[in-house]
Amino acid sequence: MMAKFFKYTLVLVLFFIIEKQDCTAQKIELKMLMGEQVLYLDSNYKLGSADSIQITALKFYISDVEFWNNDSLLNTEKKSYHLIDITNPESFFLQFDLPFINAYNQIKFKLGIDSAAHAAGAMSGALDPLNGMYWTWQSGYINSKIEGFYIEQGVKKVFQFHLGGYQNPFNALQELTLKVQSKAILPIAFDLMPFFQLIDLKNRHHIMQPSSEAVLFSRNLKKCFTLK
Amino acid sequence: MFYPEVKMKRLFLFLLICSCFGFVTQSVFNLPIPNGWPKPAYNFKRNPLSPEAVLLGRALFYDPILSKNNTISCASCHSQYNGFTHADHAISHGIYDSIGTRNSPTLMNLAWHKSFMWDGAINHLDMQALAPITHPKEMGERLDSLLVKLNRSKLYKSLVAKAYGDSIVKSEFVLKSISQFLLTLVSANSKYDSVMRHEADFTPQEKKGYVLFKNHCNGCHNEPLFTNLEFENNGLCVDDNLRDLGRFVITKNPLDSFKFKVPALRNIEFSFPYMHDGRFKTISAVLLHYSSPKCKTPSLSNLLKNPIKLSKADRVDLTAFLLCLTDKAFLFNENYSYPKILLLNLPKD
Repeated sequence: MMAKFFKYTLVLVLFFIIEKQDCTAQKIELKMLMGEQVLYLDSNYKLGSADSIQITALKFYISDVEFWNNDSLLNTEKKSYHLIDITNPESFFLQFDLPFINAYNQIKFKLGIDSAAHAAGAMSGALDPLNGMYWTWQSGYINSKIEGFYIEQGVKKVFQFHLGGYQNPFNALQELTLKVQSKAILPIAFDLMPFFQLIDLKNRHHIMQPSSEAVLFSRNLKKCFTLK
Repeated sequence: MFYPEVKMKRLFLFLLICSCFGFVTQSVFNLPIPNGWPKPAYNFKRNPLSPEAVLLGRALFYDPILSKNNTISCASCHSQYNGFTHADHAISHGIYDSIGTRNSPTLMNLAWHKSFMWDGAINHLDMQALAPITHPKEMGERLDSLLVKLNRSKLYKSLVAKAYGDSIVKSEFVLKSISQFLLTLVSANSKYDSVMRHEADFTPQEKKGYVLFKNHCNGCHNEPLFTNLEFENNGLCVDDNLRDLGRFVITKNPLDSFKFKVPALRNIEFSFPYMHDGRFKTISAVLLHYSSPKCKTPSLSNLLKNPIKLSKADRVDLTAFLLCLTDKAFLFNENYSYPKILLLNLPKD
């Protein structure tokens, strides 16, 4: 009886494994860039003619990724939250529990965390407050965190942007649509340069709470996602 | 691809195997909802109560391990005998004798609350504990350091294993179990409740006080929670040292300036001092304030635009009624105190 039982179990386990491998899973690979260069932590990047910047922290959430063919939704992983962290290159590969469907021509996703998850209580995984992406003094996730130094004529100054806020009028969540060519591992560039070109670091170097500026900066951050 | 009958067979086999191994199930219990009370705001489906998780949360609540230097526990500023507020402290002191800016609120009937803190900064009970744990003037701890400490503790490893069947103490377990303990703190056995259940009668004076209460106070402190859970400006002048703008800090809406969450009045006899900064030591000082609010700023509650007229006798009657909100069964409930006996046979650190 026991032998039979174990045989069944073995067959069943194998079944599941084989079935999983049958179809290729969809992935997205983010290429982290600063202009034409690859983005590394603590490296110098020229900003304008004389000044430069260094990134010391970069984390952001991508959620609710959807795969579309024109107007029809082909595939989606609801309530999925991906935390991308520059210190963890594995996080540049977004894994989905979805098969690759070779027919999508655009993807839609959110930059940040939807308001329902903001108010859903304690969670583990990407939404664990342990990830340093949760405001403890005022409930809410930090959708994106960008920190570093701005170096002006040899003088280093800190900048810190903690962009979040889920309640109107300061809802910082952004929705994006990108036209793409379907691939099992879809490459997308995340280039921080456009973000820094749109802001004046000399005058605005800290955003640490929900505000209209946090919303504006979050909107600017959308421009970082390209297909190059 | 599989045909339906093959799928069914697989499902059956899967269930068979599961039943052979037997699922590990935690015991679950439901929070008793007092008769006539509204539906709780807390989503119990995401955090079903179990005696094991309540015990974990209760142990954490009373343990100064939550603070950076192991000196301050939740109970330091929330003692049971005062309705889980801080006895005789206008503003509480935290780690290194730091002084905060607001009066420690009572903790009871929290399952019905939809926001927490005097300004509603916290949107979910699970996330509430993070604020005092990480506040530099309260417990001054970091969440990651706390988890390192808890994962070194034989006691907490064993409590987590019992509550969640996991060998690692995760932040989700810590936060949800503290919620579980707090959710069990239901105060619904005051004399007022007995009268409502027709098991007791008010004295004539208490009855007069109840009528006054319904005429003048019920607009914000409505039954059965004795709070409407909203934010109101009650006409207190801003303290020059604290300069607390209240709800405005969160919403940035000028109309929310000087608004604070309406506190629940249950156990008011023991929850002194009163108001968001603890400026009034006695109920009579509170009632005097409402007779003539000093600072009528634009956000003043509509219900206070005309002062509440209370004679001296009215104030005495109203006080007599407010004392009927004392719930001794709550204040001295052994299930809410430090779980000394329950922790006796667990591993020590």
